[in-house]
Amino acid sequence: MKDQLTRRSMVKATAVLGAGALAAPAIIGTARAQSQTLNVWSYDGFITDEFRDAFTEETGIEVNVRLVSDQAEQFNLMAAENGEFSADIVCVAGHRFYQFVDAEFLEPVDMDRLNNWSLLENQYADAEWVSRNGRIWGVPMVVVTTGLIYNSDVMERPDSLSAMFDEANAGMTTYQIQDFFPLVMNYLGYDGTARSYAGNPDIAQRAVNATRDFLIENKDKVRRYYDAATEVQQMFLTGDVSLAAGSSGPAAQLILEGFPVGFTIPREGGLAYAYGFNISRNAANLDNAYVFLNALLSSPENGAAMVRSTGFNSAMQGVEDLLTDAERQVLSLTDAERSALTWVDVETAAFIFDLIDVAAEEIRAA
Amino acid sequence: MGVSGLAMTRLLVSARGFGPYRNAVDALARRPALRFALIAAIPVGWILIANLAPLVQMVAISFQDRYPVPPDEPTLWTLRHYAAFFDTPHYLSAFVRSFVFATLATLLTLIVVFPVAYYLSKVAPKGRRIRLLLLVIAPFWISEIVRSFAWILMLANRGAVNSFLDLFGFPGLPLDLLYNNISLTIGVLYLTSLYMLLPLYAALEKIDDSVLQAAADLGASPVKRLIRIVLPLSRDGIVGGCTLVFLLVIGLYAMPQLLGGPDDTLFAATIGQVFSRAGDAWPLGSAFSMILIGVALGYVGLFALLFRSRVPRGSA
Repeated sequence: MKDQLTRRSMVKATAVLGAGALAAPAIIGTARAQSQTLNVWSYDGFITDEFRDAFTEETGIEVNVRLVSDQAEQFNLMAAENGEFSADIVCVAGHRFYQFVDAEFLEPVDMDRLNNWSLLENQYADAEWVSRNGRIWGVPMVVVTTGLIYNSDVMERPDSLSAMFDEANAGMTTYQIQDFFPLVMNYLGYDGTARSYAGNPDIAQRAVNATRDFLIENKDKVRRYYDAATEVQQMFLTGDVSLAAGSSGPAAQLILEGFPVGFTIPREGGLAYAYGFNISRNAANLDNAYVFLNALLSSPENGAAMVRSTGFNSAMQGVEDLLTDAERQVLSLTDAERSALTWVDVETAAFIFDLIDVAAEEIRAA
Repeated sequence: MGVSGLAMTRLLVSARGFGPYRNAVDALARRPALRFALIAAIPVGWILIANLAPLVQMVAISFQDRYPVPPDEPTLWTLRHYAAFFDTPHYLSAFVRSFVFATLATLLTLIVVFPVAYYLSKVAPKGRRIRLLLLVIAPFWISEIVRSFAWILMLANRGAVNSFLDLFGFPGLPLDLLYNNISLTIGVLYLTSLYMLLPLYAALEKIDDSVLQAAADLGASPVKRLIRIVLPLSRDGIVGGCTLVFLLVIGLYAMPQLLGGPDDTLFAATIGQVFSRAGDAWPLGSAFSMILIGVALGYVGLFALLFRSRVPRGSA
């Protein structure tokens, strides 16, 4: 019979199947590279459903968003994926992205493909903190300022960081250790930006150790160390703290909700940095990533939604026009406060934040 | 029997006539050890793969100089991550604090839960015991995180407890009940009580009521009956419950983060912080984890050994 399975036809079929199996990874890999999807790791509120739906409708690209909660989570996930990154775009903070760059997790931005870069506010598009080793590594979306959040029913507007260590406020303060640490270094007379310590890690280590010991000595002033911004809001609402070192975002949201809260930059200064989107190295959907980032930059509506969701200032042009007067007022800083801000220097931040991370563990454990 | 069941039976019957199958069945019938090995293969395999494999990998990482090792670089082995634990007094203090807290929390749980278990197993009417037990267990159907937030709402400065006390003009309000040892101890007690209750209930229920009755008839006071009969006969439940609770508390991560204050950081949280550090910190975190697991198991083993050796079985 013509259709009967012979030994020869069996061998041929096996050979074809074997070749197919061997070629499968390459075929699947090509299909993955050409897929109409984009995998994004993002903080909650950075990409609205409206924007995502409109983007998919317009481009046919399906955007899969995985919500993340902090920088270390993303770093460790990427470390575990060991070069085979499941995300095309990740959401890295401006003062931490050097760690991702140095670990070779990110792809530098190809400015020829990011046509809408010019839609960023000039002061952010030209800022030196978006680059490392002479290349740009991400698109800043919102700008964070850190300072003091206070309950205006309980206390006067504090003008110095000393309020955090005042006996009168003992047991009513809270802070996130890593973010507060550079401010305390400034307060104690050290260089929180670590610019002056470049090339002198021993001096930097001594400054970090002294700051660590100071914070351990003043542990009795702290009600609790927090990790997420929402925890600060919760502690103000439950009345457990009246003073916090934190970022402008949670404070702005509380003020807009009508709670008696104020935000100020102390005279010793505050830090500023940006949250943005970055392309992962060897991203499977690289073309889609650029299409997405260009679309994000051209959508002030999504930018305004991002501001409302996070309480941070936008880095994009046209967003401020979409905000209400109350929102603009809450987000604005006085000239004195603005001048007290220091942008994290990513070229020197690398070693100082590594030292601070270890000190933070020791402060908690002490 | 369904069609598929019938087909399976026919297949097995027909397979009985198949030489190799018949030989295999006959061999198993002759060798009970082989039968046991076949039956045990799946659970033992599961334990090896699901429980031991991650630990073995963590042991390996703890001795590596860095992790992950870059593709073009060799793996270097070192003891420096273990040395870091002993070189840093702050890590040691968190470690000791964890053991002291876990020991006290275990004792407190035992003291609080024992009367409850005794009531459920000996005093409550037999027809109601299961219903009462379900009532006690019901809160544990909710996750640890949600229950922690419930305690935050209870103990906060503007929480239910302070508001209630305020109704009666209690002086010195608000009381600082949250983010300290008080809130953490309450939360841990609430979290672990089930793990103490079930072994105790099982052990106490096995005690023959007539033994207690006889002791009472012979004039033994309630305290004497507790010390001479109930405690010795329920020692397996006590050891089991204490072991479970201690190991649970020593590894607690989320609840101390939510309810504890700045002075209540347990070593598990320190390990979590190390792993959360963006950078090459996995070997250090793995070494700390191995130290915690090793010392905790040794501590619990010693406890079980001491308890059993002092009170021989059947001494009551």
